[in-house]
Amino acid sequence: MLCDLCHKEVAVIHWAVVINNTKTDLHLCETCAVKRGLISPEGIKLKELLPLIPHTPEVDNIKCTKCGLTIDNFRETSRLGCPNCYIDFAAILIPLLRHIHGSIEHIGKKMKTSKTSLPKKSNSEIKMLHTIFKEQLKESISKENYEKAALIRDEIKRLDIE
Amino acid sequence: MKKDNELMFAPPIWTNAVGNYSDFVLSSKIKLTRNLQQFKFPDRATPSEKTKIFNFIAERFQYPTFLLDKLSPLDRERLVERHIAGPEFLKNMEGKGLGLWDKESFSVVINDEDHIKIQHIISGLNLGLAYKEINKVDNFIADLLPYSFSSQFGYLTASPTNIGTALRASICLHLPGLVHSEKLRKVLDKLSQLGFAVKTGCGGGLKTEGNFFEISNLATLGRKEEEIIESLEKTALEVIEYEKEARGILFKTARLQVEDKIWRAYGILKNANLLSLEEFVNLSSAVRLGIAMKILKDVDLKTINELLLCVKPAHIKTISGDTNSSTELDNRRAMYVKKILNKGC
Repeated sequence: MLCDLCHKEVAVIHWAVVINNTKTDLHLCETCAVKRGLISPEGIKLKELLPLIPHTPEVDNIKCTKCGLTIDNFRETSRLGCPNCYIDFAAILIPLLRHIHGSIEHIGKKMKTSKTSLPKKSNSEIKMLHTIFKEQLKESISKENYEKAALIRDEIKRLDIE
Repeated sequence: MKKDNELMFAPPIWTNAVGNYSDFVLSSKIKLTRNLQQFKFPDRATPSEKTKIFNFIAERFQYPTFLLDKLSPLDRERLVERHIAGPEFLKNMEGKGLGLWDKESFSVVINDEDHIKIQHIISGLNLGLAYKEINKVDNFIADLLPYSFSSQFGYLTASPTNIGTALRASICLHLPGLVHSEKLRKVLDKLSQLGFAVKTGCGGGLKTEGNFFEISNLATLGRKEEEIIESLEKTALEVIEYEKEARGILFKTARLQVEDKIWRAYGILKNANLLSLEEFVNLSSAVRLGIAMKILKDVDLKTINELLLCVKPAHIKTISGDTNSSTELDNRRAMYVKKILNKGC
């Protein structure tokens, strides 16, 4: 597969964004990935990753339902507006997070919930988690990690109950 | 306010050079980013919303906090020089605040990029201890303030680069041996490949590197806090081994020249009448190496660490009065350094 930008070199970085079940792929060679800041000696620069978010009507209309942050605001500042943005921008954030951290799943410290309990999940949050879990399920099955796949299936069931 | 200023005037405890590998490592630092559930992130909040956020935190917080605009412009600059906040923090001050405790080994910055940034700096190499201590503070604050947390993404932050553990650990290494060896490029490349960020210099408003390198973790999501810390510390130990080797080669192949450079640097610092910050940082790197290699015995690392903070512009202006003349500033810096170094240890 050739690089989507220079159409000359073999693509080594693969970028996928899922918006409303439509997947947009970008495949870049190492040189173009370096130019875009995907691979950098100083590490990954978010500002340089942002131009990779595709300009499609679905993406361009994304807006946070709580703080009103638009995708253009995010493109401009590379900062989100409130915790809810992680739900409403999930479709574009998931591939970004994969590139920055190599993961989309927190496995570190869990917050104590005794005095500061977490709010109940909203419908949009449940929908976001569905998208994430389905992607993780597919990945686990393709890697033949059936143990993890079973755990993810349980998580999906738990979500459906919520 | 007097108390806060006093706290910011004495050298912070992390400069005392008592930590592990202090002859190679200036400090170990951990930052935890936290946000509150019910508020917009500071960038998106209006000035009055930011003031509300500050009050919400200050009322519940057990540590003393104060608003940034209560500090004089010089004291605000000294915050940057003392590694407490970045220069961006000094812009648009409304609702911004901070707290400092335990001789500045702990600090909290309110309404910078995120609602809360807790920082813990300790002397030498010991990220494990730094994490243990900052984690206690974090648990304590979590009981007082409703953190924004998602089971999928962890601690939610304004920038997706900090999400998850929202933990940024960094180690400031002094690598004069490697700088003079061909291996430096190889070591830096290896660090990048391992997923660490490497910055020359050690922050705090210093533009001159002084053979300092700061290595920190890039990824904050998908790894446990302990894993991040262990891998960074293990890597720093490997770099220290490379540096030991490079210092050994340097002294074996050019002992006379290196010793001469160290003594000359020490001589200039003790006698000069004009010292730019850049010159001080470069010369003090040679002196630091001289102390580590036991060539200089009448000066110690603690004195050099303290000077590294106290000779910065806002500190010198605080010590000996404000001035717009750079020559005057260089003179006051040289006089201060001369006074401290000629006192002996």
